[in-house]
Amino acid sequence: MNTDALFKDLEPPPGGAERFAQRLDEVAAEQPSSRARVLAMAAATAGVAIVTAILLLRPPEDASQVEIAATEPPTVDVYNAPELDRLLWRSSVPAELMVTVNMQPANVTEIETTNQKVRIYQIN
Amino acid sequence: MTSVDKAQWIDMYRRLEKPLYNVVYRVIWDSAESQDVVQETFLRCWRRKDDIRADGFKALLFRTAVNLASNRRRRARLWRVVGVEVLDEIVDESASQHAFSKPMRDALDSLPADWRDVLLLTELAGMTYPEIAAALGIAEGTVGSRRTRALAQLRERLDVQGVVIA
Repeated sequence: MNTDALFKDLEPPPGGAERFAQRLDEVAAEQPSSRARVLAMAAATAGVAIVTAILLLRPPEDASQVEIAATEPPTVDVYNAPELDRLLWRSSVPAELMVTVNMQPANVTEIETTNQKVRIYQIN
Repeated sequence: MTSVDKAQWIDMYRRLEKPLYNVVYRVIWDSAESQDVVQETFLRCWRRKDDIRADGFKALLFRTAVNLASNRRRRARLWRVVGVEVLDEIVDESASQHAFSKPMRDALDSLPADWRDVLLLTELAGMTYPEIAAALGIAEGTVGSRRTRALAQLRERLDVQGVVIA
């Protein structure tokens, strides 16, 4: 029995992206309050840590700046990441090949092949 | 949220709505609910955007969608058990919209959830075995074996039910 009909491509109902944009706005509008709570908790934690550090360890003067910097979340540019090129149907830019041997950069020569999907390199 | 950030997320939604919708629809068999699940999937990922790694984004997206769809399906079954028949009507109406007969849906529904998830991701999401393995937290070899078993059981069910697929 052919199962292809079960997996035929279906079109989602129209207007999905517009509705998603609306919901994104709604969720984003709710964000500040929860984010403020998280920041307040982080600031309080950092404050306690700083006071404790000052009392117990007598750290250098810029310790408080280090604590505050550590609370900033890392930002990742997911959209522009090369890992998503194939997923989002973008043409990929080939990355430069880097090879290290015994922790030293090595010279690499590409050897020609008849198969376009295969790359063979020689380490010099 | 900056406008650039929002535009990028909407662009990703436009590009990925269809494969996600196709997977989710085969779990809950309702078009409006499926689209809602796809949107909820993106919103959940957006909330976690500061923690997302680019190389794990696709796996996270499809894993979230499959989990949300399975939860909705369980909830619908629970309502059915307590006697809310209206959900059956919604499902039937939506299925006829996409021209799936009940025996076809039953055949897919009869698969163990682990097998069904693998089958949907291989056939509808265009994902590779390593990507599916990452999304479902299983070994690559397991992806292949589950797909083979799922297809065999599906064909057997369709033969038993005498389903004629145009």
